[in-house]
Amino acid sequence: VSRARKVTGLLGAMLLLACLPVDTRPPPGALHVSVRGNEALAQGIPLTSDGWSIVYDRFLVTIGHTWLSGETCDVYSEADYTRIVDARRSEPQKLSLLYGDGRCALMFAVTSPNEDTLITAGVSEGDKTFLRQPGAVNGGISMRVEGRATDGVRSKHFGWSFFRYSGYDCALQEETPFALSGAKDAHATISLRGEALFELDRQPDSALALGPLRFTPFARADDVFGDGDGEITAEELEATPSIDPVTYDSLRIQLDSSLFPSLPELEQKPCRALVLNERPPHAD
Amino acid sequence: LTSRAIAAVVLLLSLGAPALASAQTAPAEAPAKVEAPKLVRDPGVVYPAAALESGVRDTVRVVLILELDEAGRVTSAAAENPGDPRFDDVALSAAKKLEFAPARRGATPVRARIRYVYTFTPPPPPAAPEAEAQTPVPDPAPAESEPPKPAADTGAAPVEVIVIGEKLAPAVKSFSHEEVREMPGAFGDPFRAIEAMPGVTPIVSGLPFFYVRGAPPGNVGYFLDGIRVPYLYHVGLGPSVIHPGMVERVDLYSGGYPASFGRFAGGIVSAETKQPRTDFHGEGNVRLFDAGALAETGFGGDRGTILLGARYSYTAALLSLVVPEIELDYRDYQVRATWQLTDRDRLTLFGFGAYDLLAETERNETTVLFGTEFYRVDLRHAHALEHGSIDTHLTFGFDQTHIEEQGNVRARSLGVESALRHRLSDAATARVGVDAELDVYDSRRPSYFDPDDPELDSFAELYPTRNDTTAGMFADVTLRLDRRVELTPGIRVDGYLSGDDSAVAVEPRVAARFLIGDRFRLIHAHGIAHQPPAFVIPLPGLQPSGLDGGLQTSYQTSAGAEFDFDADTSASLTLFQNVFLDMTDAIGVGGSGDDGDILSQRSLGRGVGIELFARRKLTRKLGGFVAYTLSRSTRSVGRESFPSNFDRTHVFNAALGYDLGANWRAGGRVVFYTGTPVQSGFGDDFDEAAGPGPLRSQSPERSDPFFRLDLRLEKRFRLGEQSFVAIVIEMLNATLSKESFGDEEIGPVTIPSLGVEARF
Repeated sequence: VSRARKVTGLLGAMLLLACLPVDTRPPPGALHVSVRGNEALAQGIPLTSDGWSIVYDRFLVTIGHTWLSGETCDVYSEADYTRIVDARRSEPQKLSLLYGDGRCALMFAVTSPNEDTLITAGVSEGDKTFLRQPGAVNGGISMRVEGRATDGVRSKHFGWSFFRYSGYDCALQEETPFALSGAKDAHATISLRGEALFELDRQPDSALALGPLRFTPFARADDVFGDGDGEITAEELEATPSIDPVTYDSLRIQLDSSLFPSLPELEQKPCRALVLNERPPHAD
Repeated sequence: LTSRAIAAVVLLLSLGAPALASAQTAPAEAPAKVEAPKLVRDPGVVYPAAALESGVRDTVRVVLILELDEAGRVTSAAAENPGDPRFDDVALSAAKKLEFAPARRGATPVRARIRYVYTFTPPPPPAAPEAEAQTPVPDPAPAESEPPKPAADTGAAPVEVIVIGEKLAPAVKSFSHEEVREMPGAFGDPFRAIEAMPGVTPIVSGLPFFYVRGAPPGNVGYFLDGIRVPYLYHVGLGPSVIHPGMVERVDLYSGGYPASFGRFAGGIVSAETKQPRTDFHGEGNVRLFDAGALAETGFGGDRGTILLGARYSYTAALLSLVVPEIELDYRDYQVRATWQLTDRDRLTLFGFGAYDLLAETERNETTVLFGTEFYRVDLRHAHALEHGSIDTHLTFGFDQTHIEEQGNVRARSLGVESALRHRLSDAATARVGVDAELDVYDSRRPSYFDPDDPELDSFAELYPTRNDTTAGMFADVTLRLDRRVELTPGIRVDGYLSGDDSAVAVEPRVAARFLIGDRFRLIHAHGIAHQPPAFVIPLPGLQPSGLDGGLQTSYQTSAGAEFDFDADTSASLTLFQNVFLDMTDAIGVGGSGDDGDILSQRSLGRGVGIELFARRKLTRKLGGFVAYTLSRSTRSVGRESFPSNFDRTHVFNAALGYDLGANWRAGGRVVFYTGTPVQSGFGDDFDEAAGPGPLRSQSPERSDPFFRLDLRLEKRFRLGEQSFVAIVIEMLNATLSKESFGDEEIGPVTIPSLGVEARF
């Protein structure tokens, strides 16, 4: 009996021997991340430096894949999903909820949607289907912009799709990243700037020099390098010299490589785009 | 964070991303002494006339390897070392008329393999005629040989009685532990030897997960003495979770498996543990990465035995020298206690388990990136009947897998099974069994998460908290229609309950063995098998929930021929075709941009091919094998039909081992296979709802083929009749070959091993 008990005890002990370790980390802080469009998106741009007023009819952005980073940041969770945002809405909408401990930078991406991408207020399933164009490069459209511009004499319409993937780090240039700890809540709001696409004097790789807003070069794409039908197409942008011909071969490339990545800012501070892949804009 | 994510992903990829142990009838024999078969009748042999006519006058010994069934009948005979066919043929013919009292373990008749010697003594020369007028001198008539005796009786050769248990089913491929020990690149691990078998297509070199006749790793079931093992290899690349010293033999059923196996639609890997021994014995090894030991002894006047085995990895300590923040740890244990209640009844308590952990420590905080563990306690009662056995066992299980930022899934299981094996007559043996299992799954989200995260929803949807119940029964009968025809029809019925879903599966099976001559056999195996949806690879607790898409169904068929050159050398050729309906094969179907729901994506799969297997036991002075598979594995989803992502047209394995003398043994193994499909131009996003997209090619380009050489060198130091210490140097992928997947190269995945092994 004694031996049997020992064997039974041994087997019982074996079952308890090696359970996976439990989570003993201290409670993290929560970072509530939201996204909103700025006034220029909601109200339009009343007057550019060259005399155009611009109104956005549609401004859909797929944004998400938020995560925390930093040398002194213990990451507890990620939010590896995306949402399609109607950027013309100025009220903050939830983007994600992250947990971390320490001083953490916020990172996120503007990318193409997938089946699991969530839609937010003002976005329909039809919009999602549209952005997930079958056969599109990189799986779909990251951002869809449609709008109108007028200088009082001429009226132009534009409808551009962007396929680029841009990862954004919104804290490398921020000297005080988010301090997260002790189950406390912190908030971060990403603003999408409607002016970004017309900051033609922006220097390459510069997040700071915003410069004046100009629309005339876009109008010339239709008037001078296009068919003058009032519709500014991707092909016409491709045929138009850029403002910075040393850096960009065409206005299309400048729009895609320099202006589109400067769209978001965090707490009124510009973000830096980390990753850009080669996807041309596409107008349909 | 990214590095952690990559580490976790790499691990999952390296890992490749229930059901009740349907049971092979486990050995019911008690650890009583084995009584050799006794010769009852031997009509004897005569010296071949043809030999006499050609002037042969030598005394010739022919050693036969005989297999005897439980009735003592000779079921197979082969010359151990074929020589002069005139003598071999006479001996083999005579062997068919031998009659034995069967071998017995305790009171139970058992099958046995023995050596049996015929000694042909030439007849004396005819006496000189006394007178020419007397009767004519006859032709040198065949004379009776020396009265045949079992070799032990003559002392000419040792009797070797090997209890061979239940006869293996047709179409099974097996390696014994002793053979695997000599196989380069297997590290002495019987389960790692499976990849060398025909019909097995590797995913990545060195990764012990594979496709079997087109079926993905998640559809291959692992069993140990009929107990389902949820996870077979430590941390993906590591050794198996069962100490090799426990394993007598590993069988691979590639298709058309016996009715006792169920709930897996792709293949069965079944290991049988060694019989308990009452003498004190054991073995151990120390290697670069881990150390293991196993010991067994009898107690209670040899009525009981106790076995303890364990392995521990100090990989963590070594790894911490290179990457201090990463912790990698694995361990396993085995405990087995048996008690002989009566001559016919034995109780066995068998516990085993395994634990793997990959964690990252930063600023004194440890985060589990991936962890998995499982434990089993099995209580078995084996009762020997006059003409069979009843085997009943109760199994408790605990499984757990933790994936960072995905969640934690636990499963507690309780299963019971009973199987009867009964010899109805000399020509029929029946097996019937019933079983049931309850699995209680407890799925937990990560401690901290975004409740809107669809990935977590997908995980929770796939692995919710729930109870699953399965129950089944099987029956088959092996009919020896005549001496040359053996037919095994069978049927299996399983019921599944998962959440609110239920399903019933009826699975007819049939296998046949036709003997043509004494050495040539035709083998057929056909069957239907079902399985609930499966994860990419087997992982403890990660059993997808629900049966919305129905059970996976496979139609398996194969036909082949086997030829025995002698007792140790054989060859086989097999044609196979498997069709899989509603198959879950995420890695075989998925594209680069797939969403999480690829895990539940269903497809129509097909595997067709030819397998060639020729072997001479690796335990012989010169041994080796050649295994070659020519196959094509395809998938159809929606409008697409394309080769599986891991379809490899040619897979070739060849090994050679040689006893160099002075207890040195060297071996090498060549592995070659052609590349996987490269589906360039296929859209990243696979979604029928989104409308037509680019289709994958049915004949895509292929990655470069892969070749590697494994080497093994062993020096043994004998310490006694059964004791030795050995130094073993082994290297998987000594050629440092890299493997191509499209434009990417992996590796070289090279695993060196320097170890010391001991056995007593």
